[in-house]
Amino acid sequence: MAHRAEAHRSFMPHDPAGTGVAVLFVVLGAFLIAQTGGMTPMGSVFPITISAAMIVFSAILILRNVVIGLKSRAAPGEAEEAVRGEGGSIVRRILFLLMMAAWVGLIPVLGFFVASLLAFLAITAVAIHERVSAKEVAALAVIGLVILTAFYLLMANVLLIPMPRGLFF
Amino acid sequence: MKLMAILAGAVFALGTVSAAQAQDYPSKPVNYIIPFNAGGESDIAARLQQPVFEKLTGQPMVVQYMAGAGGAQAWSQMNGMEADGYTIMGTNLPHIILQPMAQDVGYKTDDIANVYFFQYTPDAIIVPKDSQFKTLKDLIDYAKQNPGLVTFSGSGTNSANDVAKARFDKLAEVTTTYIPFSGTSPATAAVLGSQVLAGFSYTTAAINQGDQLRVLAVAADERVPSFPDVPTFKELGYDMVGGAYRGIAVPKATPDDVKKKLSDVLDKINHDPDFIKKMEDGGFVLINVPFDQVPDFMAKREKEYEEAAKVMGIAKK
Amino acid sequence: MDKLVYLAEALTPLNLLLAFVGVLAGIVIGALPGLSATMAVAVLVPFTFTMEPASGLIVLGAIYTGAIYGGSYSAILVNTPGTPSAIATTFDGFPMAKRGDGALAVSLSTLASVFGGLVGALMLMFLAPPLARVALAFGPPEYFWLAVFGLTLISALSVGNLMKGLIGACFGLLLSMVGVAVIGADVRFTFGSHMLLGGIDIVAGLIGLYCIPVLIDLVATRDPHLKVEGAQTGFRLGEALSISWREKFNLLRSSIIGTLVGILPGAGGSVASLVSYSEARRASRHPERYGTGEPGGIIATESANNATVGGGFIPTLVLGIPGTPPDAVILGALLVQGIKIGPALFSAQSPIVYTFIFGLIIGTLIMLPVGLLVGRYAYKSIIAIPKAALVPTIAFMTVIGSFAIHNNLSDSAVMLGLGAIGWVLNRAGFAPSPIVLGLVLGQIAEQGYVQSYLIGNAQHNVLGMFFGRPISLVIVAFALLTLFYPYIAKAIGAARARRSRTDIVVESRNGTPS
Repeated sequence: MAHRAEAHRSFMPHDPAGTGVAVLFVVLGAFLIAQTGGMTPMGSVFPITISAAMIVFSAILILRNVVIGLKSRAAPGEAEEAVRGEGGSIVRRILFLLMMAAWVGLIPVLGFFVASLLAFLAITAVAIHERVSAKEVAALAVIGLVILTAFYLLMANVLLIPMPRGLFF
Repeated sequence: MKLMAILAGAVFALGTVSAAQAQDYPSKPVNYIIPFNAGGESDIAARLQQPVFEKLTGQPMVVQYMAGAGGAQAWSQMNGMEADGYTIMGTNLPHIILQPMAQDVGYKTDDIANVYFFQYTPDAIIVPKDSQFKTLKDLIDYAKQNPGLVTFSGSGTNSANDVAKARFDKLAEVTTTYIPFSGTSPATAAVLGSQVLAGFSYTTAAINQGDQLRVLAVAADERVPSFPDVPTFKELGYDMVGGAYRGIAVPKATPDDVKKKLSDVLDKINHDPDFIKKMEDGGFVLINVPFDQVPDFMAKREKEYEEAAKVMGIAKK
Repeated sequence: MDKLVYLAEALTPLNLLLAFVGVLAGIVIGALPGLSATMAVAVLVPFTFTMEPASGLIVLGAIYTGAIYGGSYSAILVNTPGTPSAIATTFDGFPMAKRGDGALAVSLSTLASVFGGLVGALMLMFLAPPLARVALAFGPPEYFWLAVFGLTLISALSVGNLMKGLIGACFGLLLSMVGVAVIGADVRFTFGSHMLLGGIDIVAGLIGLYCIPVLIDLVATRDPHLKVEGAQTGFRLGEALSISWREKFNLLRSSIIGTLVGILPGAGGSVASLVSYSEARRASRHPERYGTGEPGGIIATESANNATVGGGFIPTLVLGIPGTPPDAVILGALLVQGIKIGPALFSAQSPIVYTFIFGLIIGTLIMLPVGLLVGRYAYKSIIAIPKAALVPTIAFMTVIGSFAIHNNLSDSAVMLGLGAIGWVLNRAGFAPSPIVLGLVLGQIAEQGYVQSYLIGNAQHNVLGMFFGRPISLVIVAFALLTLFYPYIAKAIGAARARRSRTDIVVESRNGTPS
């Protein structure tokens, strides 16, 4: 917890990310309540109650964060979430998510196996941090191919799952 | 002229190809997609059809599941599947009529190319064995004296059970309360535990509980073999026949002769003595609605459910 | 002990072999998120038609037991519950694995699963008919309160920031409402998309919310997935045994809770393990350690979820009402084999029933050696695989796992979307567990609530429905106790004053415990 920017602590708003998300949740709650207009009473009682609760909790959180922020120095004993996943490459994170999205999106176009093979190799590339020799690259590709083939066969022929096909299989 | 000849030739060729397809259909395993989870009535019936299909055609029938949104997930995707007769799918009434009627679920009733309807599970009113209601008359009398007090459990809103309850209320001129549960099992458990006064269920569900339950009436044309002592609604003076009908459909583009061939195979299965016995033991009622009679059958059902839908207040879009 | 006759029938070499193969196949399928016990059982059903009914049932039971147990591997090793029953196993299992205690966690999970499975099976054998009546005494209000009880676990899971936990839970509850409602048939929050009509599948949500954030952070850094320096990769069985002995009351209590919740149709393993986790934490002398890699947490959830196997068969075999989805498939298999199910099964067909129960016990016992071996191998290979291959392999599992739930790619898209949202929320301090709790318990809570209201309204006694039923009141009392226990305990502790001050431990599921 000590790794939060200490030098600026007294001027920093308290937990800006949490406050921001809480604001989004207030908006979401209001939007969802607006959506319940056309529903039957049976179907809308729960969504309205829970959305309202979410708005109230979020408002309390925002208020609390603002008050703590105004008091400028958070009490040292104040339990505060460690910000997770700090450090590391944000580019890789986004690339990874894009690869995953492409994977799911390409399956109906290319077929399950081919799309998975491409995505598998792409994600492998994103996850490599060290310099690797050609031999290691080949080894990784082979591992990928073996794992994919084994699972494809397990799913298609043993578990009888209808696998999506596209241009290929 | 030349173009015409080529076109004619192509059409002729296509015709012979599909005829050839139909002749030796099925020549490879057939995938039978159940739009529900394993273990339900659709699945059990499919499991009983499976060995007979293999015996008759020599080709395996592979049962697969694609559950979601009360079946709508699978039905909305069906017409995008391979239309060669090797992908077939279970269809259910009233689901495929009521779902598109109530909301946009990604398919229309007419989009579904039904090939054969082979069974239905009649609606039945069930009460726990120690219930104060010994006969249907007891229940109706009580409901008339205490409007709204009789609670019926059933599986889901806008389901076959819900339709049955709405029709029953209208025919018997009573007001009752319908309590939807997330499936047949919890709905039956609620009856067994006397959480509700009675339940709308199917004969197939009632049969599993043996003497723990009393069936007051069955919505079939004639008495069901597995419940010889239970009267039908008709006998008691209420014109109510219905339940959940189950059939098999194929993607729309499947050639007609393949559909016809499939219908013939299914018809043969429906006449297999061993199959008949097992189905009847399970509480199913077999019906034979082959391909050429499907439009007629569907038209009748659609009219029936439209009336029920009006009573239930389902928006017609 | 006339029942022992059937033990001999269950003990044929063929049946033993079948139980072995079943357990092994079950473990593998259960360990892969998305491939569920239901699927494993359904695929095997046609094969059992060629067997004797008893043998067929034994192999189905063995697969089922194995699959529920296998779910703990992925929960411990990659922070993704293989089945919803293993959600609470991630709370302590993954932190243990991260700090190098993965082998110990797997051994503990194996011991607890075997114990829980045995308790469930024995209760099935000796107490089935009376316990089945318990299931029937649970009406909609009891289900509602049970779900609320499960939700009180949030207060325990979000030590340090209760508000964020509550907001997360509300978000999860709202996620559970997406799709066509069971009651009222309203189409809710689909925003015109057919993809969401079927709702957000719990398993897709689990995979997304738990696994994707782990993967995202895994690709971003050079750190290895699990810490290995100094990690002992042996069975650590002795250590596991002594911990289990220390936690014997926890073990027994969780197994009994598991059996009882397992009896309730529609509640199932996820609720059972959450409730017993919550109880174990409350009863523990160190509740603050739960969520940071406390062995007691694994023991509670794994014994409870395997106990639901036996528990689930109680209504299935006694009443003909399947307690869990795999039970429904097995019931269907019985029907197709021409066995008459229902209340008569237990009396009229007792040879088959008792052979089956002994088969279940044998399968559970076989799980001990098989599980320890497979678990050790799984742990070793997770450590051995280079990260560049591990990340895409797990990513592949998330895609096929979410696809395989309904053979539908839209579940994969939902999984990925929730994963990205979960990651962002996690960075802002919103932990995934409250969201998952809301998603899992939302349907049970909502249906129980609306059904209770409808029935109460028909009987002109709505308040009585919610607060006038003895079982409900007991559950409410337990929920309140769990909710306020930290304060009560604190008050007691303050009164004693001499107790040394315990450090506040922040729930930090992805970081190493401080």
